Amino acid sequence: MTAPTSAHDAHGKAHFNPWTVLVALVVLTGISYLSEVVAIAPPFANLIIYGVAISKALCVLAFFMHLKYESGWKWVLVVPPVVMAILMVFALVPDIVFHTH
Amino acid sequence: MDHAAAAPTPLTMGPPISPGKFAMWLFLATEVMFFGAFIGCYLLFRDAAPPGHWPDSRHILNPNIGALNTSVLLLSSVFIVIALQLVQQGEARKAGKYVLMTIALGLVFLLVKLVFEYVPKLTLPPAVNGVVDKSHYFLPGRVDETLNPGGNLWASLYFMLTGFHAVHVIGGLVMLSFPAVKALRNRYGPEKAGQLELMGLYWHFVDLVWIFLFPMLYLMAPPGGGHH
Repeated sequence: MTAPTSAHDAHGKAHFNPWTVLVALVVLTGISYLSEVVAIAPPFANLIIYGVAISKALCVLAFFMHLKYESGWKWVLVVPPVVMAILMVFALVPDIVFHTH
Repeated sequence: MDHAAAAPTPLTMGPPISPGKFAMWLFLATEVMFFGAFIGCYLLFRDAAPPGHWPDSRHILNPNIGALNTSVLLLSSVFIVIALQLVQQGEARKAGKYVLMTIALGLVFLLVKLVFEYVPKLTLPPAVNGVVDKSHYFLPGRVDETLNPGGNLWASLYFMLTGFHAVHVIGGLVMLSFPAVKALRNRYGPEKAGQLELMGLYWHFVDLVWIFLFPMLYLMAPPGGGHH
């Protein structure tokens, strides 16, 4: 069974090698895993962990979910829920975090 | 000049994608809000916990198991990308094998979670009377005695987050089983590529959620530090 070495979307315009993306994702996972194993100071380690998670998410969105190759409509559909999900967390900080402290 | 060849593209309303793809992205937008709320809950309650009242989840969960499951889901995402390309090329049987491998990896993910995480926690002996103080919802009693969904806030959030994620994985596996069977029977031509692309989008989203759950649950230190 021979696997193709590159993938493209339904219009055949976007080319990338899924194995390259996988290697990048595994390396990024390794970085966040190592930050826990080598016991980096928590605030710095958490920054690395968040940064790596966001980078991995962007890789999956851009390549596997083809957003890198889509036109402008993607911003209309993707940005509002992400912004609302983040805003909701910050909006609840005074009620939950400050309340118990 | 040949005007017929340069005829302008007719104007259309709506986004330049198929209705199915548009609907799938709308659904995924609602899923962002769904999991965003749960992840937000975890982060907020974690920061709200009084000092010493939030467990160091790195001691409760095994980061090696989490990393293994992350790799399994990432590999399954690659397989579904390859399957889509093979369907587009008219190689249905080969595509079917890749979809089947995706399903197998999804099952491995669930099995690892069940055997190494859920069962050991849910079969812990009940806490000794008096040890568990139910008046404080953050971390009553000893953490190793309260690792059930109602035991303490951390455990509730852990089971809620990973449980809903597992339900989504199961949903994806059921969905992918249909193209797998059809493709293995060579009844999944290039005209069905759009359908598999939509299922692939959903599967990648499941992967995406785990990308955030893994570091948050397995790697992050509790507020105020924690130690190895």
